[in-house]
Amino acid sequence: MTTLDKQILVSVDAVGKHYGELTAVHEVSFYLKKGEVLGFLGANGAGKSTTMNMLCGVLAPTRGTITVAGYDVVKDPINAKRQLGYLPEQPPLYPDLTVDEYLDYCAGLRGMTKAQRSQRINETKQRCGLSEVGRRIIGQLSKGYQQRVGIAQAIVHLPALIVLDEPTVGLDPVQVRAIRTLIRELAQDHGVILSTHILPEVEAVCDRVQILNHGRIVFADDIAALSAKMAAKNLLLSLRQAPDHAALLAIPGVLAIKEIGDLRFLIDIDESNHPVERVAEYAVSQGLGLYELSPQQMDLEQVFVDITTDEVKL
Amino acid sequence: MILHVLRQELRNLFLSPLAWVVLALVQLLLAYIFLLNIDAFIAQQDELALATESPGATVLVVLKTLGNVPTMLMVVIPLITMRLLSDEKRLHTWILLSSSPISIRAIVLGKYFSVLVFFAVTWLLVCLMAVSLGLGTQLDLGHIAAALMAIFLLIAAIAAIGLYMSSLTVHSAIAAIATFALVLLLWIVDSGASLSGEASSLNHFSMSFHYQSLLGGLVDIASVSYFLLIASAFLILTIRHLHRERIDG
Repeated sequence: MTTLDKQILVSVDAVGKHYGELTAVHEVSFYLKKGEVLGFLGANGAGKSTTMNMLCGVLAPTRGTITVAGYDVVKDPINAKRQLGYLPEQPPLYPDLTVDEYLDYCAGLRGMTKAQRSQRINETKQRCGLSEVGRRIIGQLSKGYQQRVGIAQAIVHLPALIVLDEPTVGLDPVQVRAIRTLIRELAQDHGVILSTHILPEVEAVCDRVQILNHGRIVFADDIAALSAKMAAKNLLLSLRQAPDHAALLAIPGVLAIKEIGDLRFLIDIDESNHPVERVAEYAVSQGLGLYELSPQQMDLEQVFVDITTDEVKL
Repeated sequence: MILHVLRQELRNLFLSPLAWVVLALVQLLLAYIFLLNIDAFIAQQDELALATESPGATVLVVLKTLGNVPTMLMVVIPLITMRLLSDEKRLHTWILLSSSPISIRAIVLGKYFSVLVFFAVTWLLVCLMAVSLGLGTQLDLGHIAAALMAIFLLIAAIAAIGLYMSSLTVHSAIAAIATFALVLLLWIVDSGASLSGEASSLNHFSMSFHYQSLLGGLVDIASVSYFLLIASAFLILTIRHLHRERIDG
């Protein structure tokens, strides 16, 4: 094993899942290194949860191999599962147990001895903001608390890999921020895979992103590349008076002009030769009544829709 | 790992009011039947004393009482086993178990043994009730032991069937009814043959046939293995079914 391989915590190789005729996941390959947060994006039904279930050994893949910390999930499930903590889409809670009892049971299931448990449980409760509700019955807690108990369950045994399927669902904005901070904290010494359809979440916590659509990975790159995709490729120009098209086009860096409304123009630009100042100078010098000139940044939603609809056309 | 699941299940069982109600009602009913039988025995005592070769208290009180136990177990065990796996599916906690480093076999056995331990409590109370008669009269303890063993074997068989049914559905009520129906079917499967008074090959499939044989004091390898086979067959079916689900989704 090279030092590079040692860093790789999860490797998923050409994994597919069929339910009879229906194909939930076509072919998915990816990897995760220690200390990374990998974001899984996708519309509902894109195959996110199926992929995560396969990763955690809940479902067996129809084909392909998955290894966690070097252990094959199908062939050596017990050792592979020792390395992971999983929060599924629906937090797996026993409503009749108290938070303490529940976490104790989970820690035991994950192979922690009685002696190790109580201190770890206290630390975990603190991390997840559950310290005051340890003795409360889970079924009587609010949705936000239940979600946090679900997260606590996934990290109580300090697994090498933490898989979280939509961890911030049902939380209020303050709690969402707290959980995101927690995920970043966890990423310092664990690998985290996070699925979500909340796009700002990806920007906030992930190192790399993977977009899943109809059971296929249609985009996989780091956040910087996603930002590059979002970079401004257009200028929006609004004027009081009609400009001379030919003169505008003659400005270096302007590639095309499209009128999108009364005296509003979308200008395609050459990014290497950004013409924004020249366009401004031109509009002012001609007295055209410039009142809006702004780079049009694509937001994540738009990129997401672009990527996923491209796929449909194929 | 089996122990960890077992302990948790027992905790759940003993924390739920259902279990206590079940235990209390079984005990109450059985005690009442026991008393009725003692009463009848005392009433008949003069006639019995005159007859030679007459059956004693062992048969007339203890075994007569124990003869009622299967009916109760048939109703009560499905109520306890129905939740074991169906609830894990319904609450989505099955994913917690199946993503933990524990084998399906260990989960199933842990749950199964928790039911056995739970009913061992009922069983012990039944044992005490039977043996308590020894304070007043001479009992055939060997015969009673055979009958008590039959009861435990029956518990083991019905519990395995119940666990299997619970793995098939997310609706605990359906699991309970299906368990009851299958056990009842196994119980009466040879009743047509018994009515006509003939020995039939169906006898070998009948729970009541083997139970009666043990209750009669005949500890027969065939009867003992009948119950053990049913128990292991349904445990294996349960494990296989859960494996299958992992593959088929």
